[in-house]
Amino acid sequence: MTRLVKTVTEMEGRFEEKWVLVEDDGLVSWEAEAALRHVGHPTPRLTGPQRVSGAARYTVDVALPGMLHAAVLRSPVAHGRVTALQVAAAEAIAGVRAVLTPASELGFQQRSGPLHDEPLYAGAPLAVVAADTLAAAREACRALAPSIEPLPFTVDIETAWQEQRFDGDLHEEARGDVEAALAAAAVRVELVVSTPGQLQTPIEPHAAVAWWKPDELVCFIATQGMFDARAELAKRFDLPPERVRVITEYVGGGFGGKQNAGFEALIAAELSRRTGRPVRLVLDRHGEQLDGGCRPATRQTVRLGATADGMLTAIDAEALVEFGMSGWRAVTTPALTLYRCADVRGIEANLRLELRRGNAFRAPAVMEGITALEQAIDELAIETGLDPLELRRRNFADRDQSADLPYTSNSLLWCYDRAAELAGWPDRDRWREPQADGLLRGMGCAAQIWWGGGGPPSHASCRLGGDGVAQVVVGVQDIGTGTLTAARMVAAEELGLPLDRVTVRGGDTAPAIYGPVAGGSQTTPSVMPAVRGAAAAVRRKLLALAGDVFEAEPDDLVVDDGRIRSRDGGLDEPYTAVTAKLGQASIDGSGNRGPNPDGYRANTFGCQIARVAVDPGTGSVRVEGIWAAHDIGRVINPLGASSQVEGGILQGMAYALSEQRVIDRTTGVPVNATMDDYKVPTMMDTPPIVVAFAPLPDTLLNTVGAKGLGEPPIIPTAAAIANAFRHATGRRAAALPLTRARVLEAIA
Amino acid sequence: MQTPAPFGYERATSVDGAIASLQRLGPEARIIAGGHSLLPMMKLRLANPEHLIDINDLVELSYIREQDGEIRIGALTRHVALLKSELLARHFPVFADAETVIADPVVRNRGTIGGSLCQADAAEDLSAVCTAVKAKVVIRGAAGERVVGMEDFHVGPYQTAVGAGDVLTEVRLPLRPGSGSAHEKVERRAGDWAIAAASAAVWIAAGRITDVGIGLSAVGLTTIHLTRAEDLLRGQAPSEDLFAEAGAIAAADCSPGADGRGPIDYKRHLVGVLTHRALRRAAARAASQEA
Ligand SMILES: Cc1cc2nc3c(=O)[nH]c(=O)nc-3n(C[C@H](O)[C@H](O)[C@H](O)COP(=O)(O)OP(=O)(O)OC[C@H]3O[C@@H](n4cnc5c(N)ncnc54)[C@H](O)[C@@H]3O)c2cc1C
Repeated sequence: MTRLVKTVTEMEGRFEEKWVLVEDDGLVSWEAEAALRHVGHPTPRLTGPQRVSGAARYTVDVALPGMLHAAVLRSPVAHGRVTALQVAAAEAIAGVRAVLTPASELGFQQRSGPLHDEPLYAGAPLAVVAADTLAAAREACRALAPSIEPLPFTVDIETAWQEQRFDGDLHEEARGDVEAALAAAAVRVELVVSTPGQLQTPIEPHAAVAWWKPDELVCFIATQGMFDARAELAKRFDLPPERVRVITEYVGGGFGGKQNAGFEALIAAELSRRTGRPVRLVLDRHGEQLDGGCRPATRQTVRLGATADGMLTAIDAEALVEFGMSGWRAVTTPALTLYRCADVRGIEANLRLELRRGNAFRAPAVMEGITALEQAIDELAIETGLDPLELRRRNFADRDQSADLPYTSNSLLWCYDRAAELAGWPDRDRWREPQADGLLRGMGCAAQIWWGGGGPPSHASCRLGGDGVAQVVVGVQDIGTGTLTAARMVAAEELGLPLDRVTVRGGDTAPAIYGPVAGGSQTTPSVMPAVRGAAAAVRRKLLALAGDVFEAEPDDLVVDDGRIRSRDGGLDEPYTAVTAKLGQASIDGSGNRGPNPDGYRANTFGCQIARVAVDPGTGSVRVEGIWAAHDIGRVINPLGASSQVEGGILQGMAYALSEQRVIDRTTGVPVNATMDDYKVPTMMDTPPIVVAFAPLPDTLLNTVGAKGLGEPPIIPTAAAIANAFRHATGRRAAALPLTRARVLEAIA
Repeated sequence: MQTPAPFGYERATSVDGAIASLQRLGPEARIIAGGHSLLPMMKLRLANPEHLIDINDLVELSYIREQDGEIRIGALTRHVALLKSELLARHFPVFADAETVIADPVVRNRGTIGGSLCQADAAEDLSAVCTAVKAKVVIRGAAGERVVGMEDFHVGPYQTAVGAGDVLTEVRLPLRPGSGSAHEKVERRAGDWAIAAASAAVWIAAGRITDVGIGLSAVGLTTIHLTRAEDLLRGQAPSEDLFAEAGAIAAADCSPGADGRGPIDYKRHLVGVLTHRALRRAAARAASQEA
């Protein structure tokens, strides 16, 4: 039955009640002990060979006949007024087809224009040129020779705080009386921590190729949300969504920074509309590092109160955020939810600076918050003399205290135990003994909480042809997480087919099968139930047809390993014994993600332990191992899942050790907006990583029992490393990343 | 900017041919060896040569051999060959120390010792190594061949004794008994350029340091040759205190600038620590050679 139901959906902690279309598929979630053939078994990535051989076509690889190339002129100053642009000189350059400036009348609407005559950060786009070649477009950008009158700017948190330059209101959430509880606490700790600005640094920069055809706008976009991109283009250009097609075959990394259509697709579409030619706009690396987005820097103060035996009685978390996402605050969310505590307060202020505004970056805000909170919890363990994991176990929260709701599942305690066991945590103090190589070693842990339950709307279709091969279509693009591989596994499971008899297509809005943006760790828990539903619909129809062919009762038939069998064993025929009779016809089914269970919160949890070695002579910190245990419900593809964890840990490690956007305070300009100076770790920096997943599917949440994993693994890594550093050296650095100079200062 | 400006290109078939082309095409022509320094500079338009003369076909410039009491290394010898050479490992382990931390396998498969030395980036590792082991280089030009010691090789930032019409053909490492050498480097991430690096070579006879060489990377406008610390060490018996004192001199005698790799005070401290460690390991290696 098809119904419209009202349900609560969540994306990165933003809850919304909305109407969604659901078709009841009658499926119940696979049980923990269900014997599954594909799901839960390590499976290589579907698109692996294409990716490594270069056959995969990313947006940057798209080349269309007659295509023009666009280049962006960016502000060299943090704040200024553009008093003149030499447009005629730019237009005079051979091959230039269009020049857009802030004065141009655009065919689309945007609240604050895409091009700026008063740039508010270094790297803000001032003008765009489309030309026959990229070289001509770039030359024209130089010819624009902007005259800029510099204006005052503020680029550091401290000054912005003193000047009270708030972006929006202070945000406060509290329960109980935190001040009274702190005053009464037997044990108190206070910790001030600064965290760096971090850049997503996708290997494929932001990119779009747009082709404004008479009857359709076709856009190839490096985006995490092709349907959101379509909606944005349709709305801005005032087109029916059906006349906008977004294609996103492969994405070379997004990490949160590639939402919607973005500047690139809007501008490319506008240039194509004007010139009648396809237009390619790909950020160069400098543009990407200046204007691709960032995780904003923070300065946080955490105060904790506890009883002598380590029961938390007060948590007070304050965060100053360097020009974060508009209207989005969650730095102090972990302080409000991770531990059981009656008297709690979180206060956040977003500061307006002349810097590129932050955007989503893998576990936005929550990672920053955990980085501070989990270091403070570590201090409390030291203060109370408790094992840091034991302290965390004692304060375990079995429900969401902010919402006052139970969790659909919560295996955090299992994660603590498993990580401890894998890391050899009980013996951790032996690493502090004098080491033969003169290094200081230590171990630290940190916990993680994140949403990631997903929800409707999310749809899939499945078509079984005469050859007995099933074609699944999903409404999402694979941003490198292995989504299409997981979809193939789920469909094969439900259809009883070998993997190689299921194909999966995504990355194109043309089939009009909707899927959500790949963000908030929602893809797997939203898309996989829809895939299962679509496959189940096909299976049912197939078995009904098998009943006709074999004169059997469909309910007595099952599918397995590409065959149709009767439960009593009397019948065992290949799929094709039925499908071959279809001729050119096919069996079609559709599926969708059902509503979330009422009265629950769905969250992911985890714990990571890090071991570090610190060289007291040079200040070098080397991570020697990370042990990660995460609760993500059912693991669809253990191979893909452990890759996700490894990638998250690497990015988290970089946040602790090397990655940092550095701004020159005298000019307001980032000084390391290149991949040479912005230090993303390499394979040779990668420590051994051991991954474990809690063996409990979330059967309440959806029909596959999975929660999401994109964000959770990045969240606790930096705090675990900082705590390991504390264990190794007895000192805590006031700021991350732990650069060598900072380390020597801390241990001096 | 990610593409070089237009340039002409030719492949040399002999060293003399390359020199003749350099003479003919003038100062805007450049040799290209591994291209791992020159091409990035061209893409960034920091270098805009009008002609490239590719010497990658000159296999006669690719060798590591022992001859006339020296180890001789052809200018086109790749990093990877230096890393894997048993001859070098036996006499000058400092090369393998450095080569394990120079860039990554992709760069090491192409980049050459000649290119490294001629690039003469102050942060470059092999210039410090060659300074420490007291190498000599062979430079050939229109007027013939000359041999220049490392002490006379660097003439300014990115400038060497190799002139516009010259080709560096060979690096020579004099073999002397009782030697030990080591390279110590700290970088921001694996395979990165040094924040600072110290190369040391010592020659020990009868419990005394008969000669010593120390070169520093990335802490001055050119590779730094630490003559004051060498003078202190020569003639002394190796000891921790002595090496610590040499480290202190190194920290004082380098001239780092503050940049994204670290502040000045940190770099000076680091140079002290790395010089001390390099000397300690070099001396330990010399001792084990002696035995
Ligand atoms: C990502 C990356 C990381 C790196 N990291 C390090 C590092 O950590 N440490 C380090 O030391 N180096 C590092 N390098 C540099 C690397 O070692 C280069 O290969 C080397 O510096 C240059 O060697 P090449 O053969 O590539 O020279 P090329 O780039 O071909 O040439 C460099 C210069 O030398 C000249 N030249 C070359 N050969 C001759 C010759 N025989 N006679 C006269 N002139 C000549 C050229 O004209 C040019 O001016 C790195 C490079 C890259 C790309």
